Amino acid sequence: MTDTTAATDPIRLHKQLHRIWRTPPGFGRLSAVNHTIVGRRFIITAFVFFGIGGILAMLIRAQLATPRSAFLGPEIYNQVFTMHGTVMMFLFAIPLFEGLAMYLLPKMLGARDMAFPRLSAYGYWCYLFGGSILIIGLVLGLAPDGGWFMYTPLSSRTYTPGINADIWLIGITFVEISALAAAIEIIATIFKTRAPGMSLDKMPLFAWYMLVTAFMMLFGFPPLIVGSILLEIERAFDLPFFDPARGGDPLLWQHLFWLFGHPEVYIIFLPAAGVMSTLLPVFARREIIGYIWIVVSIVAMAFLSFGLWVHHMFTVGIPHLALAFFSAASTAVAFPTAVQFFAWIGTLATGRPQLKLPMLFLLGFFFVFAMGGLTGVMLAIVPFNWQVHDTHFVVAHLHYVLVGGFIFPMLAAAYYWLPHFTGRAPRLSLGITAFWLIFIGFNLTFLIMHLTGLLGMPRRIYTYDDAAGWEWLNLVSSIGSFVMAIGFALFTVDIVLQVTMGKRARRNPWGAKTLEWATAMPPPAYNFASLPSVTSRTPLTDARGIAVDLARGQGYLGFVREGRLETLGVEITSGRLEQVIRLPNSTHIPLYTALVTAVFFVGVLLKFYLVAVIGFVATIAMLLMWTRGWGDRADRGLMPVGQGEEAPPHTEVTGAPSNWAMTLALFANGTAYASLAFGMLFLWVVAPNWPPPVLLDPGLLASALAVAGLAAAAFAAMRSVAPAVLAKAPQRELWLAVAAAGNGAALAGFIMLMMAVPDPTRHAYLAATFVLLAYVALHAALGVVFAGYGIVRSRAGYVSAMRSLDLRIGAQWHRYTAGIGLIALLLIHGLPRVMGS
Amino acid sequence: MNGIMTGSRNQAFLFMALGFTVWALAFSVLYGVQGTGCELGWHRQPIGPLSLLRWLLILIWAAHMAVLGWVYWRCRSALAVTAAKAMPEAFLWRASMALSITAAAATVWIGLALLVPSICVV
Ligand code: HEM
Ligand SMILES: [Cu+2]
Repeated sequence: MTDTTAATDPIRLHKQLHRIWRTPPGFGRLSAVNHTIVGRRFIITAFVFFGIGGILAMLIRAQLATPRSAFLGPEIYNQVFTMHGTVMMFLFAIPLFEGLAMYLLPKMLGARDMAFPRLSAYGYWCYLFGGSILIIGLVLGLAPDGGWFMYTPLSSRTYTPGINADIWLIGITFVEISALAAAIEIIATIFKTRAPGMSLDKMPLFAWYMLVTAFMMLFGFPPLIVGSILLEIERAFDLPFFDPARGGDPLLWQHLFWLFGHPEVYIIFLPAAGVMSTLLPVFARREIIGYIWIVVSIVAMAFLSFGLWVHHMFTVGIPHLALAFFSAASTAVAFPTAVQFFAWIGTLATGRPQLKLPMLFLLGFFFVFAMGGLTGVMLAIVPFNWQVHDTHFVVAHLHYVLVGGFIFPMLAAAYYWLPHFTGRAPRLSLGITAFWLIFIGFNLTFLIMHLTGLLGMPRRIYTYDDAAGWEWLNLVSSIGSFVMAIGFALFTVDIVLQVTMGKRARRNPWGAKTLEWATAMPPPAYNFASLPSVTSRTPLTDARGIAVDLARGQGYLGFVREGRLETLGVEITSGRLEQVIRLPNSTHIPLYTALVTAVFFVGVLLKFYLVAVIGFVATIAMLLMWTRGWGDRADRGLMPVGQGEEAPPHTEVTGAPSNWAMTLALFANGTAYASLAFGMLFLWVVAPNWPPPVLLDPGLLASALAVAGLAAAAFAAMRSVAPAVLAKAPQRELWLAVAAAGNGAALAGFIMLMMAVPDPTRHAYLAATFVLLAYVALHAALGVVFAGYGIVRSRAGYVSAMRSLDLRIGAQWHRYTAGIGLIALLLIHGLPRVMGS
Repeated sequence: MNGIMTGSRNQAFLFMALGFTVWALAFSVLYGVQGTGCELGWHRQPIGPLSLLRWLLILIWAAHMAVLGWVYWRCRSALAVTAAKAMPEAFLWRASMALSITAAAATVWIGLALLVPSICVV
């Protein structure tokens, strides 16, 4: 019998919980999946990459300090600035906020962990391994050198014959797995694992920011991933997507890249703004003004930012009307930014602000970011853009936005939450000195770059002549950058001192009102010994003793049930109690999965394609292994959760987090597919050398087979989750077998179609058609695997009329595959007819 | 076990994204049709005072504005109901309503671009 009465002895409860939630020491740490540990790892690794990116920046400034410097040659210089941009954007900024979100969200939302702890761990390893590929490339002198946005044709095989560009494409795509994983996980966590009573309108603003950011990542990254895959295919197999001689177009790369790249700027900014909205009210000692307006403005900002991408391409020759669209959208995005600014300023003005150390960094943000916004508006004006395009003016603007909009808030966050991470408070106040060094050094470095830019100094040049008249400006700028570097070094020292020698911190040292401060400091693996019930936006003021009550087990789940790791799940909008979510324990399997994924990527990189295929298959197999022995073999029905309430396990509800994970993954997948289809249409309409020399003659038999197979699979999958069928094992397994067979037939049809494509290296049309078909074929093949997997799960006793989660997840896949398969057939048959030959 | 199943109570949440989804659609369709039309020479076919392409773009723009009007109206009525019962959904409906207005403003703003004299000049 489970002891579901609240244990009132906090020590005993702690021991019970600690035993099941802890991560083993020593090598066992490699098995960590707990969000506190994984979040911390993301943050620390991101700062290490910041150090690397910073050293590269110092190399750049050292080179540019004097004219005709012989310090770095052009080849090395190109690698250095490319890697600086790449490391800062992909290996520092994004992983840093992902780590912060992982560490904080469950604590702020009143949960014990993220929704998918193993996915976080897997994402971390992908990040580490993918980033390492890039750094190894740098050390070997083989780093990418085409600029952080890798424009074709410069990055095509003709102009970059070496492995440099491949390292970028493979390494970054590998890292992007972790970004997509984080996006899915953050959304599912915010949707589902909140404390009961925390309806969306009571959620901390930081969670709103992260929710919107994660959605942006979900839709923003797929175009980049597709672009990278297409470019890698072109480089490796000569399928011409970007080669104008054969119907490709370098502009396609620019579109796919900036479709990601501009939202990326906001993806980086929003979490930092979330930090602003979290910290400012604490230091202003009042609630934030305009909660709802902030929520509205971040949603608006997210959407508008997707309408901006072409502003990076103002100079490529796009019709005036289209330019006007994008110029309009670029200026519109200033409004939601302004709304947040006013909310922050209003909060400060009407509160009783205290100038503590994190606040200093917040003020630094206001100053620097406002400057960046100003120059941004200047750049959004098309004629001005033409003048300063690709000069150091742009470099200055971009750093005012990125450093102001990201680094300053994140440094504030570091000082603010450090006591929470470590349980320690600083002894010295090196932080203030560090702030001034960074602030002054930064402005010295980059204010001056506006001038050199206006004087015509192009970006990405490795040297310049004395006669240019830029010498002393560049020298001052370089001196400034070293002042800033000293500031960052001091910051690092300060943090290390605080971690190792700080004095014990008080609980909730800043008097904050969000739930993360109700945990012990540093927090135990399970966060809360029992989970709170939330009734307002400021849970810590409502009940002063909430931390103690929770530690005593007086909230929900203040007990251990059968050694299971449990947290609560709620309805998305209302925050009403809905389910008991069971979470996994530490395990090495995410690490092993990431290792075989690395085999795949390295195989592709070194062109050992057989190895790559083995790595791919092993990755899928490993991912399926995650669920082995995981699930319930009997219906449980309602289970007590404390406070006299009951809820079913997540395996028995429709809104289980993993069901959401599949939905979200398919959103991302659909975006990738849409990017591919967009690419094909775009080339057809815009690229030179169309129509293609030959058209595909899609066999009717193959197409009919594909259609019939897809339809059968989708229908069978739907039947397999019908209540009457679910109840009987033989019936549901039969339908699953039909789904597998249907997918198999579709796969055969698509392979036949692929074989009918004449040599895809001849023209972009053939290449795009081939890839589109391959994409769908891959989905059908995975459909066979998933349907078979459903049968295995059913046989193993994990499925019943009540426990249909596995099958519903599979059904989503089959429906999706049918959808994209039919669209592919429509495009392949229809486009040649519509567009004429 | 009906209590266990959660119905689609997340409509309000979806509506938060709907307004700007319409904006995004307007944006992409206008951009796409503009590109295609210029390629196929629709800007050289006059219909009355304006070219075929410009009529088409104006029509597309107006259709999206109409949809936004509907979204706004839907949010308003749902807000009235949920606010009266003090439900947590009221917050989302209020936000959705504000977002639909904002999205309409953004659509008007990009619509101004349709006034440029020459659609296809590079
Ligand atoms: C910490 C001090 C930093 C310094 C001194 C610095 C310096 C520079 C300089 C001088 C360039 C221009 C290179 C050229 O065009 O020849 C550059 C480019 C760039 N920086 Fe930084 N940077 C710093 C921090 C950052 C941060 C924090 C980020 C992003 C979060 C960032 C992102 C970029 C990007 C994306 C480029 C463009 C690279 C390219 O042209 O491909 N930088 N940086
Ligand atoms: Cu941009």
